[in-house]
Amino acid sequence: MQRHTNITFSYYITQLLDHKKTFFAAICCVCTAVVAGLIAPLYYKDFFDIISTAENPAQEVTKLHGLVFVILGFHAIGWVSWRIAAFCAAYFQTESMKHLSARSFEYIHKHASVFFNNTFVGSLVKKVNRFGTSFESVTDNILWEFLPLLIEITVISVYLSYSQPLFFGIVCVWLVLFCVCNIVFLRYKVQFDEAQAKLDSKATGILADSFTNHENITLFSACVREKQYYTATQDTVYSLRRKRWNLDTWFDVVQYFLTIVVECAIFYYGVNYWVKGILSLGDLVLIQTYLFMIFRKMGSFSRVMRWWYEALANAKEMAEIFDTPHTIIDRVGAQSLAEVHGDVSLDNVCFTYEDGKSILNNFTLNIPAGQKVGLVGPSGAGKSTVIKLLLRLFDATGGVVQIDGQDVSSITQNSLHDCMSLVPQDPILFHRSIIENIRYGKPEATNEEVIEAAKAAHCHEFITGLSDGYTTLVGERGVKLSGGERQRVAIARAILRDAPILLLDEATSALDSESEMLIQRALETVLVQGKTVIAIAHRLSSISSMDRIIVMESGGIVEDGSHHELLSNADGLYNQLWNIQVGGFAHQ
Amino acid sequence: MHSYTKITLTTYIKQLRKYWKTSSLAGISVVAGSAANLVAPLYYKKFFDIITIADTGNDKADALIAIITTILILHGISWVFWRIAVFCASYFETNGTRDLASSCFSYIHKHSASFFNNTFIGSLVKKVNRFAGGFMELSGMFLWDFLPLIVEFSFVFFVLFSRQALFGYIVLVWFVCFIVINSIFVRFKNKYDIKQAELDSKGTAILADTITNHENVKLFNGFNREVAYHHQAATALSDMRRFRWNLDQYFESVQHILVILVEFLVFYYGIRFWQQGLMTAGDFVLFQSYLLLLFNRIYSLGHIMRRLFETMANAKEMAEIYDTPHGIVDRKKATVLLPKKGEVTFDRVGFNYHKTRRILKDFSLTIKGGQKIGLVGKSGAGKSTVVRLLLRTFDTTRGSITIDGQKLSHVTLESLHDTMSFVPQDPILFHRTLKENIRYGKPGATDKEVIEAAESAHCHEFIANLEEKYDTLVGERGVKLSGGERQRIAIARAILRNTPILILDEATSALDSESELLIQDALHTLMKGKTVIAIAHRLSTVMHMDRIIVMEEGEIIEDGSHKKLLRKKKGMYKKLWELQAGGFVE
Repeated sequence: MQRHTNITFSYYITQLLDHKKTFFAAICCVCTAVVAGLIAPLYYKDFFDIISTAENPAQEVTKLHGLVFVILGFHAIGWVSWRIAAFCAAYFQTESMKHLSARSFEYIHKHASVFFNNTFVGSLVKKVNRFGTSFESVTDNILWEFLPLLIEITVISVYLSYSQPLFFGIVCVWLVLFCVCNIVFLRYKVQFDEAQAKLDSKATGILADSFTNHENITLFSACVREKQYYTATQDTVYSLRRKRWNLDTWFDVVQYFLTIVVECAIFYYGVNYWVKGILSLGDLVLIQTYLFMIFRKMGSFSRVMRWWYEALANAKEMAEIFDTPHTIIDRVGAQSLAEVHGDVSLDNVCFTYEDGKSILNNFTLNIPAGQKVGLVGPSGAGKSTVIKLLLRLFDATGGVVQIDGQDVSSITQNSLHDCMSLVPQDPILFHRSIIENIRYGKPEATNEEVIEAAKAAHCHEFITGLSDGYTTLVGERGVKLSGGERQRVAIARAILRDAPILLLDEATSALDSESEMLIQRALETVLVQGKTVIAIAHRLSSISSMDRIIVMESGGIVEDGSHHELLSNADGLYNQLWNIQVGGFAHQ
Repeated sequence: MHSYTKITLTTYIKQLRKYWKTSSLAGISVVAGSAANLVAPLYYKKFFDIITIADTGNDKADALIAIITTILILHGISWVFWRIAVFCASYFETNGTRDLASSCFSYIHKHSASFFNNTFIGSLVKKVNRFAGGFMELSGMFLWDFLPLIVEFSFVFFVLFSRQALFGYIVLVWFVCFIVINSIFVRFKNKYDIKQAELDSKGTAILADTITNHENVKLFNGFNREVAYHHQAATALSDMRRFRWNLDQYFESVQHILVILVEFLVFYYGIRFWQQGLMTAGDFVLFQSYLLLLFNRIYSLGHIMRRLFETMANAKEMAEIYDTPHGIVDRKKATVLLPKKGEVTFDRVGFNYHKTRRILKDFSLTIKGGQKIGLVGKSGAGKSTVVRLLLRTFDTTRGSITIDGQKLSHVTLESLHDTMSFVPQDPILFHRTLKENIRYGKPGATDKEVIEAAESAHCHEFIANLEEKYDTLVGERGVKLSGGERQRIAIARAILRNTPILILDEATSALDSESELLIQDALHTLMKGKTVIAIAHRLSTVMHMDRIIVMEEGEIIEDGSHKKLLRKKKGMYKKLWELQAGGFVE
């Protein structure tokens, strides 16, 4: 916690230093304004002194008017200073929030894929946004709450200790009691706050889960059961909330009681002093005004502290991410990969997940440029891992992955990714227009090139059927398109990209038989010409025409050869898989 | 917009009525508490009056002490009332919010499937929470802000007019100015608020979208492009935010000047009145403390108004849902479906999606009790729609569907769903334990029954390998399991449910070839003695069915057994079969 708070502060302070001028101007203005606000009551005191002791009102009028104008003057100074402070704050806060969100954006995107697999998108977005708004809360707290409170308490204490030591004593005792009570109470309450937060997210989780499972609830006629379950959770949530509120109220009871006691004590002694002639009416008013100021500020103190801690807790989540180093980064002095032929080799490669689950073990495979390879095997055999290691989405835990004889970890990620296209099983699209999504593969492509690629990937047919054609927005993740349509868009993107190495991970699995046949043909004629191809497939019929087929099982290669070679091995896994799949079709 | 506000308010008021004892007690206590607070300054005035006119003396001191005691008592009274109000409020606000959340829950779940298809889950959750929370916010605002404001203003006006009418007028003019400026300003600012909200959600959307697409960003080297894009959105947002804040500042400047001016005027004229002997020192103290009270209230008023609008706007989203009638409901006097053999009949059924897209037209099909049929055809042929209509997640546009001679629209939804089990292509699970998920099909099932079902669906093998076995939590939607594992859980659930009609929608598509063999075996057990409708792309999975229906563009184009259909030259089934067998039987 402490470590992450420090990180948060270091980021925030950097922002403040970047906007030194406006930040310090804001601080100076706040100081001026607060001091002006504290001086004004001194003239009120004079005012009341004159009124109460005046023998002949007419003579005092000019003096009183003069005082009222002086007070007006101080108010004016206060007014100007507050405004300047607020404008300065608006400037540096908005600028800093912008920079913080940009820094978060960049830092997050530089993380490796593992990071994204372990995090929910929604929660990441929330963290980034909160990191910015927390900066606003923290600086707001400092400028408008802590700083004025500090100045007010100091000035008032100094004044009282010089002029009225007894009252100073009373106020001091009160302040100490107040702070102690607050700290004890806040500490005690933290457990309930935490429990509340947990219960809240549990209830929200149940709600979200039930909506996701709406169909199950309807089809299993379970609405009544679910409502009972949800209401029961809500019951615990709200009884705890009530408990917390009541706790707050009891605390307020104590706090308010303390304040009344102080107020009355001061009045009581004030009257006594006045009787003895030590205090004037003006003094009573002045003390009263100052007390009122402190009471108000201290009354909101616990709320301000809560905001402060909430803001830091919110920022902490992003600070944790800043504290996680990027796992896959370009080596210092990494070279660009130029003029790629497309030789791929994995030499004694091992890959183990962090939790110790071993996927690949001394895996060796050489693919000469231009060869078309099919990767098959049961789920969990490590096929997708091979592709991810090539793309350097993961780093191998042992061995070397090479492209054209160069270790992928020694070249820049940009140049590495430039020489490969991946068509994944379940392609995700940007919530932008279709044309932008296809063009993502080659940002400078003309509209004609995009449409040509779309035609080759058989997307053109369905795109022209959409109401907005190529400018149709595809929805979050591309939800407005079917799985097969998304696969075709991804293929068009890869065609446009035209990289020397092509990786297909179940690229046609979501298509029905007819579209798959069309796409297969398209792939053979356009996409794979002269390229190194690695294709993963469950349906063996879609890779049987490849130059070479690699059969994998539990992280190793068990068979390697052409379709016909592999089929001739009667005990082979490939033969076995083939027979299962042919099963239905063969014995008619 | 207006009608939604009305729905929101009537729903909230209903809650207040339900807890009328505590809510009205809270209201009364707030009024009493504020009033006691307002009476106290009158004694302060007396206190200072005595001080100024008194020749110092002990009897005066006694009078002063008496006044202080009264003030103390007044504070005490208001203190008691405020506490009563807070305790009452915490009681009815928490209970009311809970009740609202529950009623939102059941209203939403009674909506039909098409409602859920058109809505994001996350936004639904937010709407429910905001609507329920809005009750707390709104009743809080009313109790702690508006009610005291009304009491204070009327009280202060009353005192001012009875003491110094001029001050009453000054404050009244100020008050009117303030309200006018405020309402003009709020309206003027509204368009910028909306614009900022738009820019804000645009920035967030870019962030979310690029994070979802992080792999694309990486592999297509889009990082710098995306940073620039995000920066552009962030700058627009930041500029708009600054503009709005500055706007607020200008407004507050005016407001602050007005406050200073009022205070100045009161003192300035006060001196004159004092000179004429119309005002005492105590009056100055009294007016000053009343003015401070009003200033503090009014300062926060703008902020509270903004919160009020926000709360209403937030609640509106749920009110919209309340305003949408449920798409599929039991008709009045709906009877309970009594299944016999499980015979299903579609009689000239028509179905249009979104009124415009026709999916089915005059679709007729009779499935005898116990018959097993396979539904095949290209995507978009209408296979899933047939199943959806039978489950009544959609209603037919024309024609009727009957089960054992009883019309679907005449029986209760609950009894309809109790007669069939559905295994979807991509089953979704509850974020609960595996056992709870399987048992969902039959809430009263014993552990032994659950395990038996899991064994025959071949789930037991992978469950036994999990650390916590049947008590393993499956993650949101069931993400911790693979697609094939989820399908097997759904099959186990259907086995446990044991209904006369069984519907399979690509139930084995997510499995690799080996697991599929196991599942086919499980399905054989499941299908025994039941009416079965199975949709499949891979023909090898439906070839053993009693009867195969080939659909195209919402119509049946072929109907018969596997063998019979293969014999048909140029038949669609034969064509599909050859396409799929192609790779294998060269």
